[in-house]
Amino acid sequence: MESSQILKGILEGCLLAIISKGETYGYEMIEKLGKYGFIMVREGSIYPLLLRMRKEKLVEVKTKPVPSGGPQRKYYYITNKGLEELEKFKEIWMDISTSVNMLLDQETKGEIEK
Amino acid sequence: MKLSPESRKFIEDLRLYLFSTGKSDNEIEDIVAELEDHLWEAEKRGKSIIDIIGNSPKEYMEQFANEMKFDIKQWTGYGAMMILGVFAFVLMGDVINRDTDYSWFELIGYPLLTVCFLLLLMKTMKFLSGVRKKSVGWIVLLLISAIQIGGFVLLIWLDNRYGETVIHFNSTGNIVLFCLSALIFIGGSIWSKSLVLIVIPIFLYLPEYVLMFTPLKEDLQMVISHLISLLGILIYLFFVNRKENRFE
Repeated sequence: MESSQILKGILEGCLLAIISKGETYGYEMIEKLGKYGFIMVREGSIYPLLLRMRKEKLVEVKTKPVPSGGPQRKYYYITNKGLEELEKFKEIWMDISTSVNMLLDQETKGEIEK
Repeated sequence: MKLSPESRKFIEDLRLYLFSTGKSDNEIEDIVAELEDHLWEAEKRGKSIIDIIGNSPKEYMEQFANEMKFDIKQWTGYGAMMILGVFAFVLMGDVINRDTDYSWFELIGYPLLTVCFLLLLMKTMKFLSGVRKKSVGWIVLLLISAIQIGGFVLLIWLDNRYGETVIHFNSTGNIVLFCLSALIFIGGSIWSKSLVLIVIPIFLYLPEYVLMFTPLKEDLQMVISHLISLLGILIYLFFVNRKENRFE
């Protein structure tokens, strides 16, 4: 699997987590991701993912005028199916991250013992 | 809202690419509007299009295309509209020239050629969405127009040589055909919300029809009517083009 493929799966989970916190739109999601250090994520790459998540009914959208006036903006909301998916993602992520951390941790110790 | 030229070019390319891969118009506009919103926010903060979509616009466009289905309903509609349009043009011309005899070559050939042309056009548009030079676009479009005209010429030649009349219309039939074509043009104009399908038939057929009643020689009639048609259509397209550019 390519690294970008792994990142895509993780990114999808993170987007679900961000949207689950309340209504948000594309640019705001990128800013939030940036705050948590996701600088390796290309800004535009979230949109094809959001499109898929919408088709899988994990999220819903509503178009509203921007508060400051101007064009319409698309806001995302999480669905019940999306919340279920987020729980699944959390479980899988905990398992994977614990395993990966343990493995890397032991390897470093092994290196020291030698 | 004014985006940078690079961003606007990308948005146009994306629209063309998704359209030519058969995606639904509504869905395309939906995505385009969202991306425009994002680009607008990003450019306000001094970011460039490369920061947002990466170095390969083509790859990015494919990511969208992979998430969207081919909209069969929409494209069947376009295909049917084009076939009807070609029929209307052919029929009206034939009625005016009193040549409403049809062979199997024509009955099958015209729809077939139209569908082939539509598919070719879609492939070409997909290709053009990745081309940066405007001149290449014009050359390619000229080329495929030549292919289409060539197809019709070949069909007419085959028909003259081997075609046997299977359908013949009398004068009442001709009036019905004429009204049918006119209805298709009017319907098409309403559907496409533009006057192109009214103006072009008028320029194409009215001079020919009017000149028939003049005492001019037939060759001269043909030359004059073709000149008026060509000039009229060119001038009309020139004005339409100028009006559209002013909107941007």
